[in-house]
Amino acid sequence: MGTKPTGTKRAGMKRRLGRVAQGGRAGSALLASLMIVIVISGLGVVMVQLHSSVTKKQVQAIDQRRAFYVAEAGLSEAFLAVSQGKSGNVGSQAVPASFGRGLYWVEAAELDDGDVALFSTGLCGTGRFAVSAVIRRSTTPLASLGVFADSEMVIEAGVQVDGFDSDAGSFETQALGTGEDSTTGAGARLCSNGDIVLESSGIFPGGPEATAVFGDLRPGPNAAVLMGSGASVTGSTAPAESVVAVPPVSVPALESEGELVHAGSSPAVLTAREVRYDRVRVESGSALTLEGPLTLVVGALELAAGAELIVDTSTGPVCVYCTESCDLEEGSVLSASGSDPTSAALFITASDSVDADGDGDLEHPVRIRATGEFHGAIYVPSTTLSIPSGLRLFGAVAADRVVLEAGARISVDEALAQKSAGVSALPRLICWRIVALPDTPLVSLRLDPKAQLQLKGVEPTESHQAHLEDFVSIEFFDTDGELSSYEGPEAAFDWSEVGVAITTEWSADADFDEDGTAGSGPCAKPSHGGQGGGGHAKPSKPNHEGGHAKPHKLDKPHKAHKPHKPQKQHVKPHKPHAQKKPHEPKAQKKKHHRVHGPGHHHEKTVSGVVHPAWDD
Amino acid sequence: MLEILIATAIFALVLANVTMVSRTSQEAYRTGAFMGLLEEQAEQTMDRIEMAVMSSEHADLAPVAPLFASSIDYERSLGVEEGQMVFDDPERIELELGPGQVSWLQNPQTAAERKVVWTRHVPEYMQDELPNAVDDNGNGLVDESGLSFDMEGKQVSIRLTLRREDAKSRVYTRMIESRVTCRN
Repeated sequence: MGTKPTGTKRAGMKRRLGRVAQGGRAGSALLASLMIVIVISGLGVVMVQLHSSVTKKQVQAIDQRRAFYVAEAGLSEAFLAVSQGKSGNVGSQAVPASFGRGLYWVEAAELDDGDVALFSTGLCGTGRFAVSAVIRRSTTPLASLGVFADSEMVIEAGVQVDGFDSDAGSFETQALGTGEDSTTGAGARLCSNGDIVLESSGIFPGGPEATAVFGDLRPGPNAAVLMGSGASVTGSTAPAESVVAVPPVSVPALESEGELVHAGSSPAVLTAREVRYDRVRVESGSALTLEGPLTLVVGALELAAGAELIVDTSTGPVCVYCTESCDLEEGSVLSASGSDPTSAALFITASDSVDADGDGDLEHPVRIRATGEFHGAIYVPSTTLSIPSGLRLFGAVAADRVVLEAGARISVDEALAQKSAGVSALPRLICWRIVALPDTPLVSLRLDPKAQLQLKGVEPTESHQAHLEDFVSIEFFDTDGELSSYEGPEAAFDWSEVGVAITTEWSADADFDEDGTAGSGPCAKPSHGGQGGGGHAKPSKPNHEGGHAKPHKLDKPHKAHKPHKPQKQHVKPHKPHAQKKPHEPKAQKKKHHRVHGPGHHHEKTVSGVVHPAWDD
Repeated sequence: MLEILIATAIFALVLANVTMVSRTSQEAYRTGAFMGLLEEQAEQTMDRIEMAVMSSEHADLAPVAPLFASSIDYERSLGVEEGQMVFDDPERIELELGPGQVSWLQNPQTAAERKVVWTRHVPEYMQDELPNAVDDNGNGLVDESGLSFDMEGKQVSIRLTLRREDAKSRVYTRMIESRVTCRN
């Protein structure tokens, strides 16, 4: 029989049981807490994951929008490049341009009609976007200036200049009165980068033989109208605010077919669409018709006394390019069958004196002594053009120096303001659209593009330094009025030195090839560099080999003429000559006036020639 | 015994709090996720509308504020050929009031019509707008619908409202507006 435990033994047993019980429960709260923490942590992780996925989507949407803006920025940069005369290529797939947090590159392609197609790809974070735009280089027509002289304009006694609009009808329908001396009474526009001299006619103003300009005279920024007694101007004589750049002419490259000499009594008609001759001569008693559409390039154009040259624009435009000389002898006749001045243009690029008659004496390369009528634009950028009194001109005239000889009659055509050769203006946006992304690793991998490039060791270029053409050849007047020039990397050139830019050319490397520029209009074809002299680069392929201008032999910087004193008024009485010098146009040194971008039309610090009379 | 009771009570309290926190968090998350989804939907739809309108020429849209239109007809540019712009087939973006959806149509009302629904849950009236001939929301338009367009020059103002109910019949509304310029 067992014995019952004693009191002491019971207490001990109780203590042992308690310890066991306590030992058995030990850690259970910790376990429970741990489980709760794990559950809550798990919930938290799940929520964080879900939240981050939502955030990722939002970030992607933001990156996509940013990529769109970066692509747009690329288009803007390319637009600026094209307006400066570059190709429009900015950055490349291999080395994109950097803009803000993103990257982009722009590829430019020249279209058939001179437009430029831009394709811009923008990348930012995980966002990718591609847009395209087609822009059109545009020009401000030179003929909008009416009668224009780059250096000086001389209007002799008895000259009458008015204006009309061939789109509104013929001159006769707009003239006040009838007869040879009828005028429209308004609409003349005469501009010059230098002085405009109206010689005294010695006749009361308003008379039939008085010198009269029925419209505006606009001398250069630091120049003036010098008006003799008896001359009248009905419009403004305020100087222009900026110098007008005169673009060179791009002569079509055609194979020469030798010489064309027409001596027969029966009229000859030239109907070829494009033709080049070394020399075209029409002998006395013969007539040659230039029938449009026609582009005629001729080295020497000669009209003997008694010969006739007929410009027939009734079937199409006629453009004539004279590269060496233009000699329309006294007694020859220049006529037109077709009264649309917008369809005919005469470009004379000759500048050096020539011995046209073989007598050993050099004559001026441009001698127009013909009579008759000419409806069109005459453009002589490199030398003096004199309009004789016997030649009735309807249209526009632009030359380095213009002399309107005594009794000349010119009617400026307003319609040419829209349809003739011109200086470059800002390009116009023709088309904008969203395009498919290019298939490149940088685009396909939706990772941060900057990080991707960093792994490859590629450093993106800053946006403003990413243009393909980064070599510049520039002639300019600096801020002190001194003529200077620079040829080399654009990054090394300090643009703040430029007071007035005269010519600017761009190239992808240091080798500048010559690429003349042309105006727009019915006769001028866009050169590789585009219209209006605005472009000098070939934008057709992104990796084109650069060089678009001949090594430009720049003259040593020389002192420019001092500007006129500000006390000079716009119009002053003109002292008569002590001796009347014959106005035989002098051969002038050829100037390489390249058109510069629209942002570079600035005031010239140099005025025109100081007239000899003022030396008294 | 007392200890157990106290421990149990504390444990229950903690558990209850944890459960409440959990539920509240879940609720907040659901609300946030739902709103996020709605916002994403609205932005995606708006992006599509913007890109379509930007690529078009001057869109055919007559109304000027306070009038508006619930649809817009346009033609997207495909590029330039021989100096002339080439356009794609006519397209339309419109609000279908019945199903409350925004649809994109190509060659609308023709045999070759194609239709894609870009988004649903578009209410009849814009957020904060009531059918009372008054500009309730102060945006210059009167009683505008859930999708509205109005023009000022070449700029098109686009307003879109989405409204959805969740599983617990709570209504969520998101309004988004934008202004774009026809680039062509």
